[in-house]
Amino acid sequence: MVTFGGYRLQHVSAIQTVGSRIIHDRLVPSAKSFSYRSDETAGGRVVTVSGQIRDDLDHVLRLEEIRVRADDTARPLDLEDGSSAFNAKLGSVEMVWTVEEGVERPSYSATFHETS
Amino acid sequence: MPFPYTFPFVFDDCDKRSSETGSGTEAIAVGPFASDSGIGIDSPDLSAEITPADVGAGIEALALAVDVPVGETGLGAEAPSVQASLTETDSGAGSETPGITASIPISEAGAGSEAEQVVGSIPIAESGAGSESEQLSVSLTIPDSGLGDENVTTPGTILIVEESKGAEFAWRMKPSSPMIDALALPHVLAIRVTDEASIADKKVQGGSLPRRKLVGKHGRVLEIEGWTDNQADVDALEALLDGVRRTFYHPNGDSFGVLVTGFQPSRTVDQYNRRLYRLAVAEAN
Repeated sequence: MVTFGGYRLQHVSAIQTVGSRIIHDRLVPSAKSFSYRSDETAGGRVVTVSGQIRDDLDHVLRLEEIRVRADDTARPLDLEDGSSAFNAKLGSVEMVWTVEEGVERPSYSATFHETS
Repeated sequence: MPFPYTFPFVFDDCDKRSSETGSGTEAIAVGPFASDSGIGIDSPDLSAEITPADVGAGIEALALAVDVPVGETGLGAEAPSVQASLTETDSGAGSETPGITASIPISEAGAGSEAEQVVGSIPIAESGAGSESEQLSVSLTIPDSGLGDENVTTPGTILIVEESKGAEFAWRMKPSSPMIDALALPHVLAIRVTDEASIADKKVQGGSLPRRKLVGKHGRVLEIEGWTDNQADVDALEALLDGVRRTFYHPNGDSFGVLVTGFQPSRTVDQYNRRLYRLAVAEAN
């Protein structure tokens, strides 16, 4: 299970984490084999959590519960995969309804941005 | 004229009319007809009416109870019927609480189809002050263990024509298919709603995590995929690209203002009878 500020995201099926670091990369004159590189700072992880709302009559409310958390507030994101929780802000939220799953089983995808 | 009139009583050929103007209490009653167990069709008929012509003060408590118990085990179809009408024309002060209760309890074990029906309506033409709290309750409980199909419907219509002050509450039914204004989108296969947020990054030197701020949201963007075999549908969808703000109705009950920003019908020659389309819609208020 994945929790964001204590709120449990339903039926999470995939988590994609993209980490980045800010690397300075400067070519050095006459040094053709390599350049000057330095690790400047952390870029912060971007975590995309995908899941589905299932067997819930209040499926519309569940999606709204996710959407309203994109309010520029940093909350602890706990992936509950053994890693420690970290602070993140919710950004974009995507919701998909398909004719195979029906209106009452929407899929969702929420993007979290790690922040200090 | 004093009230109430009461009607618990017994007669088989009755036409009891009260045209009483004096003081005192009137009690007129009409009772049950004799039951019949022989051959032949019986068609007992009882009409009862209470027509008060009262203009004086005091509370009227008129009551009319009708009971048609049918205990029939023989052949033939029964068609019992009870009609009740309560027409009230009241212009005086005070609250009115008219009520009609109807029930058809049926314990039927024989063959044959049942087609019970309860029809109720509360037409109200009210222009005075005060709150109305009309209620039409329908309960259909069918413990059926026999063969045959049951077809039960409970249609209900609430029509509010209110001109005075007060709050009206009404619920819109969810559309079965997505709609833009009055146009139902044909054969929708998928709806993708993206609520995109703009987040600004400010990197912090020294290995710390960046400071991130949610700058704002652009509004939801929808991608709708579907198909149609009708050129008229394609024309109607293409006509939505006119810059007019419309209302999108989601089948889950949600609705919001939108601008149609793109429409791409498939022009693949071997799919002429199932033309896929893709509609891009952006939330705009």
